Amino acid sequence: MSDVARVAAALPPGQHVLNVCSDRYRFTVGFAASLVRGKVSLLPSTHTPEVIRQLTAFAPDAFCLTDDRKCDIALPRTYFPEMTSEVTAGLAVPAIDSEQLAAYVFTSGSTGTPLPYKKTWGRLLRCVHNGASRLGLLDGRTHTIVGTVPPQHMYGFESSVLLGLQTGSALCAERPFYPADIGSVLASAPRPRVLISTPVHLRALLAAATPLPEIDLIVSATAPLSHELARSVETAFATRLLEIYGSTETGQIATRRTAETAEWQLWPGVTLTLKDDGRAWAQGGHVEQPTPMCDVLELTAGDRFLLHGRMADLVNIAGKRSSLAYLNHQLSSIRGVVDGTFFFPEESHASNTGVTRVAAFVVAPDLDAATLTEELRRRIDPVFLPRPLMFVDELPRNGTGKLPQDALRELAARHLRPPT
Amino acid sequence: MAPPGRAGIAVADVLVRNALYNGKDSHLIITCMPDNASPVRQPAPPASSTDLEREIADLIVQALNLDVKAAEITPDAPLYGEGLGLDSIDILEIALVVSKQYGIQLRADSEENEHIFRSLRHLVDYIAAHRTK
Repeated sequence: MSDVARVAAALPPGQHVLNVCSDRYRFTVGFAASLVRGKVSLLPSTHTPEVIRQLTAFAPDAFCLTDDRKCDIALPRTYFPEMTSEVTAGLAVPAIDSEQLAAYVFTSGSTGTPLPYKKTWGRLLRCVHNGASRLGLLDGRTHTIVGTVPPQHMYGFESSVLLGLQTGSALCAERPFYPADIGSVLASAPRPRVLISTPVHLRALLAAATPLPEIDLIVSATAPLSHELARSVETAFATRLLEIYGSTETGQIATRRTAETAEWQLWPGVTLTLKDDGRAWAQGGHVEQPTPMCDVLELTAGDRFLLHGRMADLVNIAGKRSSLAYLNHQLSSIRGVVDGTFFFPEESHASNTGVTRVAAFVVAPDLDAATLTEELRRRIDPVFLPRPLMFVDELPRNGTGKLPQDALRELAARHLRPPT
Repeated sequence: MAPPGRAGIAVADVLVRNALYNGKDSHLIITCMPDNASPVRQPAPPASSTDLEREIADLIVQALNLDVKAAEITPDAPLYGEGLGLDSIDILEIALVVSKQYGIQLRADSEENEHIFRSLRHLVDYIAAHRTK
């Protein structure tokens, strides 16, 4: 609480905070300090110059809270105060009103502008409380949460930061990256230990055959895990693996024990309804308002459902989600691009991390690949940079101006190198 | 090729003596060991460092399914961010294939970590110095 009070005192007047602290503890303290001062935390999915510019338009008084002196984000910057071991006695944990707006999260809209979603404190807590219950973290023991995910991403925000605040679990400040580091950070974390991770990192751990210490629970989210992979993880690390399903808009809404079943179980109070537009809408419980889900969901019985895959326009690369419409909008906004489209190939290249990249076709006679990539880099998260980027004379648009998938597939086949 | 350290010459001696004793026509493998040789025996380095460079460039192109040819990767150009423009997922993928191929476990806290991916040449040097396979 002393740390929170000190940081709270150091925050400038702006109502909106972009908290980019990479250290999980500092992020959490910064977030708590913002709450205490009644400020709203902004959680965009990426920090490209274009997104920052759009955030400024959305919230002109936004400032950036960072723990990195080399941070170059184009917002007024406040550096996280030096940590001291001074403890101010007698600070009470403040009660935050459940209706207080705690944060805005953003998704990529089809118009090329990120869409904001409100997250009120009460609903965030309720969601995370249900999550903690599902994960078995409310058993009275102090768990240590180790995450490979950043605290700014919705999943990391809910399943490490808020989960820690809610359950009184110990949060590991470090965010390990290499398999060997994940192993050593876990080993230094007191039991019971929980690993909050994603399919990319779980695949990497299996591929590296890293010996891990005993882990009491592994949690995976951001992209669905196959039954086989879940079983491999449970066997290799002698542990339980639970998957969480949710979205930036709704937060977490369901879990499953993937090694045992394909069915997801919804959070108490949350319902899914299939509407006329063919989409499943989530509402109730902690969900702020009825929200269409971006995946193809099949309701089974009661509070269960199956996940059949993403909707056609969406791409999920290494757990980051975007829409092709959004990406195409960004591509077309580049001067010199006459026409262009992103394209998600059906066949994936075999890799240890299991990540398939999105490709792009572009008609831009006066641009070279380096310039175009640089321009894209200013606008979209690097994970979506096209690979490969194919320059063509024209796109195979049909009579109505649409780009049929099979025409694109054919164009890709002509350009892509045959697999060696 | 760097001259063999004392340990290297000792190994070569033994091989020569064995060859004479066995009366066999053995090939002498002069193993280049640094003075502070690690307990793990270093394998013979390839005939030139550019062979290893090409080998690693190939490995990267294959592992990441890149659209460039291995020979087109400028040895001194940055790998991460600019230059080849790789991102953290790519770095993880490279770490995994390097681990499998050369037996090196990459760690974020190693001093060299910032330098390892600074360029292909940096990566090659690191692998050459630390490989156990």
